[in-house]
Amino acid sequence: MAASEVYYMNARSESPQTGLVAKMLTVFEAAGLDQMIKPGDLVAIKIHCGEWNNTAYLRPVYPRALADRIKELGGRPFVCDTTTLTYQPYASRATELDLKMTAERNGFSPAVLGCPFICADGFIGTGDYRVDIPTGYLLKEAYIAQAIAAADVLICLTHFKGHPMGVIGGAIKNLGIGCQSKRGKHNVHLGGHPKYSVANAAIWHPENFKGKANMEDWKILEDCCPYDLFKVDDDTIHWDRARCTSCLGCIGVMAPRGLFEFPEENFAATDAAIADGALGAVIAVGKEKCGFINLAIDISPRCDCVGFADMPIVPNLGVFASKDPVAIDMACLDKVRESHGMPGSIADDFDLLDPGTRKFETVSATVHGLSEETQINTGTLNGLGSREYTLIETEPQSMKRHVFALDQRPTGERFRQKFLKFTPFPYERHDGQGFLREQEIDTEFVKAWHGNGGNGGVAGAHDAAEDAKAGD
Amino acid sequence: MAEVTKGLENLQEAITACQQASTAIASAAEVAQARRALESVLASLNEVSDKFFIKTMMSVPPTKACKTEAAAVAALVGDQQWSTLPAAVEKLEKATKALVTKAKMDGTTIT
Repeated sequence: MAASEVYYMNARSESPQTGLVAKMLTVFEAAGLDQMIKPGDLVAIKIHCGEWNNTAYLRPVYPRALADRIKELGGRPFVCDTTTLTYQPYASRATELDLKMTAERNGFSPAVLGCPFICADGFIGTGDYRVDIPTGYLLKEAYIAQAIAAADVLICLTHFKGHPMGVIGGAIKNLGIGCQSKRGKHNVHLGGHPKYSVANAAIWHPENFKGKANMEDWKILEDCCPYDLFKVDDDTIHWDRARCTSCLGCIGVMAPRGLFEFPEENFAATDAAIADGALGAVIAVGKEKCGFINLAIDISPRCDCVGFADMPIVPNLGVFASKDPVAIDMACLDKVRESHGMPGSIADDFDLLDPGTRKFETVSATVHGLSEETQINTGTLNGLGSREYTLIETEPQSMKRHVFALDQRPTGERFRQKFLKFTPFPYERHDGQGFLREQEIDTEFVKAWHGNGGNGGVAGAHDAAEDAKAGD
Repeated sequence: MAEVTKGLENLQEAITACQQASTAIASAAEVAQARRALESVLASLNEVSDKFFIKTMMSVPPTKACKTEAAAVAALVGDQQWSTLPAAVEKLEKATKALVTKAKMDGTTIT
């Protein structure tokens, strides 16, 4: 497969046109993603709205600015995310209601976005569209969130970061998990699979349950499963594993208590399946109608799907756009590898501060043996995209395109009459000086701390401090 | 795939260093308190050794800290540096406590 084009701008900013929002819009156009949108097109902007109390997800201003641009192009944008599997006992996005409430708390509301925020796969997550994936490496079908499958154009606006199971969370994962319905996520997490499902891959250790009397919080062993597959008696625990769906709600409960062991193969197979699910989403919308923007900023080691955000493992790296989800993730991954690690972050804990190190598979992966390239390699094998890419450094647009958009007249023109009527500066007071202030202060004095005895550098305080230093 | 010393390997090295140090000071009356602390640390390290956490990547940094501090304690014992031993043992206790807390994986999202 030929090298794909990836448009890139670094993360430095010193003017409106080099701010990250401006750069996002700049690479959006440079990559030709704007050309995908025709007047009247329904344009899905797929984001990750962040778990409850996560703080590393993309700020709402990014989808807002993109939605505004899409409206200028005549498109009808909507910002969307999908319901999750339960993943943990206290999931915050597993129904449409919870997803929307969490998204709103994180700043994603129609008022902020300037367009609707949609839960793309329905209230429970069964609103979807089935597609065949003939070239899938592991999956042969996918269930794509209905609102995404129904869109004319899909723009994946992705926060590039690490992920405990996927190892990286980029465009491929935004498609391969994020665009799947809840049913589709069961598929990607290999529920019911004869080898890789939780039911068939996990090693079950009921002998490690020492009885209700010895486990104060035993009830969570039953309550972590939305399919009600665990029963706890006084001295034993039972798992109806034949009916397990790989919803993963129990893993964080069972594994730390020694009741489950997970082979690395289960995680690795899921990483491959993510790329197949991604291909399903692209098939559902149409390859020529999918565009990808990755923002490699706030690169936390674990995903926005956890209810916290650790320090970034590398500095902000920049903004990328492409029509190829594999190439764009490869470009981001290469940038992370080339970068110094962030001192004080988990990259520091693992001695991964030197450029050239494969960081995610160490700091993000839950288990040993996972590769930060599995999604990328599988996405190349199944035809989703190319890991070969040409990185095209993109020049900033004109400043005028990125200044305050609602009124682009200069401030004199906008405010002259207003300030005549409601004058903010009180010219009539203090002989035209406007406000009551000291005529002069010692600015040098306050550049250093002279102890609590100083009086702010006025009226001889400086001399007093000098005297104190001299021992007088 | 990057080569990283696994949590279990770090932990075993920490345990070995603690055992050596503990044995070496078994008859040294002047460091009885340090010996008791080492025995407590050893019990904690052994207790976490069969936890799922130790098999995860997340266990690497805290087990590495235990390994480092245990090696420091063992070195001081080898040199009979009794005056600085209590401070080193205290560091090891702190690292062990952090490991035991993290091994509970309270609130950890594995997926």
